[in-house]
Amino acid sequence: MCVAVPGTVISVEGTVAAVDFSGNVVRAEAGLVSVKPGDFVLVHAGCILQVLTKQDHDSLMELLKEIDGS
Amino acid sequence: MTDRKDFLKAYSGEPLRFMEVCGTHTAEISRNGITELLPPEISLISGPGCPVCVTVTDYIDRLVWLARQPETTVVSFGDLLRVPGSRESLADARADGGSVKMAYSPLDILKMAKSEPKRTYVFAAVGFETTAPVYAVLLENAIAQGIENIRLLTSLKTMPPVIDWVCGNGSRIDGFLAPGHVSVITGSHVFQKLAEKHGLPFVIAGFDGEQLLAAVYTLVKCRGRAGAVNLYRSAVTEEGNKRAQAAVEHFFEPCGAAWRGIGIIPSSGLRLREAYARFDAGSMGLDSDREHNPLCRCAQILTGAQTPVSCPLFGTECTPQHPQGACMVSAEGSCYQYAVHHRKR
Repeated sequence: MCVAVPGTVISVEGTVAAVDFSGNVVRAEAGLVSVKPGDFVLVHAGCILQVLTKQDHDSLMELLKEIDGS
Repeated sequence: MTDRKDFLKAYSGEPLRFMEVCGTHTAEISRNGITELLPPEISLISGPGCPVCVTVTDYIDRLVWLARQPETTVVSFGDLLRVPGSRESLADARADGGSVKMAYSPLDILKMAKSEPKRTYVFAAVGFETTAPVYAVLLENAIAQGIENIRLLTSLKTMPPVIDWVCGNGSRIDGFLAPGHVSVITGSHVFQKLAEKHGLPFVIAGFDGEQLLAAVYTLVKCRGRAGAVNLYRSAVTEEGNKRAQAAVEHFFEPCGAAWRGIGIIPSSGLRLREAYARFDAGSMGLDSDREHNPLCRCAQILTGAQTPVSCPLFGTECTPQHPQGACMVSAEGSCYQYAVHHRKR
């Protein structure tokens, strides 16, 4: 039940955002974090918990290189 | 990543036991077949990280009782419905005429309560740090909209005290895969403190196969050293979501909490503050735990003392279709995951 799903904010009205999950648009509470259209967000139980930043494969590999050398 | 996978496969050093304390990690480790890539010397153990699995039977019994009260409806996340109490589950109560509804979000209860002001709607408020802010948002909304017929039956728990318990009382653990979504709220600094306290590595990771494999690799590389490594930087910051932390702090305060298989751990739970006690559905004192089936080994499995396949009921009397214990009910429970993914270890 701790599942959280990433989606993209389409619109924001007050503290409620419309979030697109691969074409399925769901209303989510946005009172815990400031969001704007286009933000990639993490939604849990109908509530946006965080705005996600980009982390690609390369940045994970960079981190692991640090660990290799530690 | 192939080199690191090969490193793990070839590992033949001292046996290592790493614990994950997040139901979603348990599910994704199984779904991605991570344990199949590891040598026998590296074990992944599912700890007390599934909020449904650690809920005691007293709590379920109270929900069942509430569902049978006049003008009262119990609303719950789906995976709690089939968890057995000492005699019945919420699903049993519903089949027997009790008023029980399933919801995707605690916030769904606002509309229900508004449409039937004479009926009391009780949400089964289970969860860890991840879900607690959602209940705070629910209460903020209820107060702002003047909705008074909402109650919470709380069984909210926090992660650091149970990790302390596992380190002090459970089986030997060589490092933790720290819970990703809990970390989104708490921040990574909480796990840095735990790492220093217990002299162990903690790795915060996301949920895809690459992140999980990278996390196990990092735990092996950092074995024997204290420190938290955050691999889930797209979502987890050092400080976490401060607005969510403040919302939880506003409505809730720490309290002792009962954990299945463990007992009461001081300050490991959250209860409503006195100023908001009118929203409580009688959450205090629900501490006893009586297994539905005396052969059930959920308690030992949750603390890492046994694995699901060593339970005498696993795969015979206890299956996902006919669960005997909470770990087989929840889709994030370790028994359920071992069963559906045919895990042996």
